[in-house]
Amino acid sequence: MRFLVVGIVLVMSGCQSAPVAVWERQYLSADGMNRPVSILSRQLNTHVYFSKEGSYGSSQASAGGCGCN
Amino acid sequence: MNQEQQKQLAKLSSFVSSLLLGQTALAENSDGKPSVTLRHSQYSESNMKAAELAQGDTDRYDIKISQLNVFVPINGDWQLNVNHLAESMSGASPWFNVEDTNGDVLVAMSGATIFEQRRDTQVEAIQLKQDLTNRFLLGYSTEDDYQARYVKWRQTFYFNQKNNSLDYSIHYSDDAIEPTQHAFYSRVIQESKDTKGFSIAWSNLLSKVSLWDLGFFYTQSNGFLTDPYKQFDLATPLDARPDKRSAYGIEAGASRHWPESKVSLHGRYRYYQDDWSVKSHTLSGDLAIEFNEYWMITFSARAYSQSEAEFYQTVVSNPQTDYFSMDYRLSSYGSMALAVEARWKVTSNVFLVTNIQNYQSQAEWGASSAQTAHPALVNFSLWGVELEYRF
Amino acid sequence: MTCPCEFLLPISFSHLINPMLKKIEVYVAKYSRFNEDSLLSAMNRTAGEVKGCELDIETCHLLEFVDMAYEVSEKNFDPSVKALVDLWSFKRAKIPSDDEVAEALASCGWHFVRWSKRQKKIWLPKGFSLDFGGFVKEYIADQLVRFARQQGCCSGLINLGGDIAAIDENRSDSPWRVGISHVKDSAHPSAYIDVAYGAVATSGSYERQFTVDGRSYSHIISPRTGYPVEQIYQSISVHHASCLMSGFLATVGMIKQQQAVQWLTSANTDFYLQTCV
Repeated sequence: MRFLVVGIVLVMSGCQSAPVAVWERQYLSADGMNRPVSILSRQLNTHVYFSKEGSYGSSQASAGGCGCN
Repeated sequence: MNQEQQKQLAKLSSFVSSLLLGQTALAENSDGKPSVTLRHSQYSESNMKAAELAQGDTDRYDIKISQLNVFVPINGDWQLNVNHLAESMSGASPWFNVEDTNGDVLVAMSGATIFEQRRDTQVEAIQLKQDLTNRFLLGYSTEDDYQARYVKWRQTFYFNQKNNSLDYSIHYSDDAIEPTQHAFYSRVIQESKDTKGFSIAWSNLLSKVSLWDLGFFYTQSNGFLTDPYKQFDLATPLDARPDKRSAYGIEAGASRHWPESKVSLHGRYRYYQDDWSVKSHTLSGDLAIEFNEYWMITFSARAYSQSEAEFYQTVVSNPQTDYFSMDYRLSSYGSMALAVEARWKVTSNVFLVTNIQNYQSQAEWGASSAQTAHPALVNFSLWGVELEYRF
Repeated sequence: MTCPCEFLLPISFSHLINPMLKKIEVYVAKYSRFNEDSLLSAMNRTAGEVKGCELDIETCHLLEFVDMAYEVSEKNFDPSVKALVDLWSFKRAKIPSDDEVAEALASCGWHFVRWSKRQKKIWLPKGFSLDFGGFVKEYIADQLVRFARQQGCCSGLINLGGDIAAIDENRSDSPWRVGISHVKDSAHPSAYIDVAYGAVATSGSYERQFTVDGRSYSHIISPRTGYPVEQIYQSISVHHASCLMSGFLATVGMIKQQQAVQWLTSANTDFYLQTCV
């Protein structure tokens, strides 16, 4: 995993803009940025799309596995 | 001695103590506070048109969903997040398709009204370290005819003063299927499948107001992937799928905030492909407007388009191939969903959320040139109310 | 930070040292007036501008503290007196004229500073600049104590340039013995204070002062008069629940001069005065 991390850091550092300091994150932590849609609603949507559509999966944090038809 | 000064100093001193204890909401996001959230949602599918029905009931699924979330920080390092969901559904679902004498495709719906319950419980332990977050999730989901046990481990690694994060996860799910009415319809008695997969995602702060992320995921399912309800009798199976499916996808998202107007915009795209030759594109966006401290409204849109599985047939009249399915979920179609959500901060502890979504499918929006359109594509509406209490 | 930092921790918590140093670095980067990129420099740069400067919630809380401290100290605690501090800099070692003092005094005064917690913004008047040097070090010490406790460490001592905070949460039987440096001989303490909890902060003239024509001038400037305080006390040490509070009480005590004892008594806490000989 460490090699992977290093690899990605090198690739990404090319498009790295000036770092954002810890105290400059009030906008990034705004409700509209963090939680535009309620978490429970998002979990439910993920489940509905999973069970009603032909494709599934995400790299994003969301509800876990599921049994459904 | 000046009494007033003494009083003011005592006040200042207690302010400083609360400041240092972080009680003056130094925790900028409320992530560290215990909370309880209760949600009720109603999902209803549009009914079938009688003219498109070969047999069965026109009423499709209606589902009532109750969700409970409890979040408890244990100490500075550990947090516990528990989710419980209970669903009760009723209605008919598509069974198989037939062609009438004019060549039009009709749907046979499951006859009797199905009434089912589903319960899903997830327990997630979150470990917060200096530059690392670990999430351990255990879940159990059960229906009359279905049980799933799943585990997931997710780790987020922050670096460059939390300007970047690398997030990876692995998950495993073990599912058991025991169809009801198996004696009558000669269905399978007991089957099982398992699903495993991993994901990896990178995210990056671009500026004080913008960030983006890029991710990859892979999942593989093995076992009984056929729909056990889509058989007429043992001699006439109406659905037969391979016992393995592997899928991968890439996902990218970006977000931006406009401080003057307090508007946030999120865009996200996902590409998906599997070895049943289903490919799909998903494009979604959220526009959140914070009107003031108390009100936020979010408009969401999602466009989805998929191609059909290689063994999909709108009407299976005389199965000659090993695998075949008439499931609309494996057909070529697309969908469009629009949603709006309002979030009201009633007091500093109480939040009220309500949202509504409308979802429409069309065969023309599919990603591959469709055969005859599947007549039972799903349209639904979903609304919910949610009450959150933060301690 | 140009002062020595000392951590006294149980050996099993030695892994906290690096994260603690990192925390100090982050705070210094945020509030140092010597760092061009700091939030404080950004605040000072936007002085006189209509759009003001954006703040984070932590800084807003510190400004709330300043508001209250300014009032309760009867304007003797004022982080907006940077112009005066620069004028009386011991590096300059020169006595400014009365006109110069009056001019500098015109760009000082916390009551001229406008800020909004709701908008998370501050608007400094033109020519103003802030210096958080008077309380940030103490605040950092308190934050380090909090961090150490969160990590499960329940005993230890943090010394940031003479401001000492105990990690111990409960008043234990064996308190830390903190020595107060002697004016003439810093190697030999002139007194000891037992610190079982809370923090001891010292405000004194002996570490930084300058002498012109045989008269020594304190680096502590009275925000009200614009002149260095007369040196009745060489130093004042205050023992209080937090380092931030101790430092505030000690600094204001030094400025209050004759009223120092009355001031410290009304704070209802232990203090130690070192008089000039």
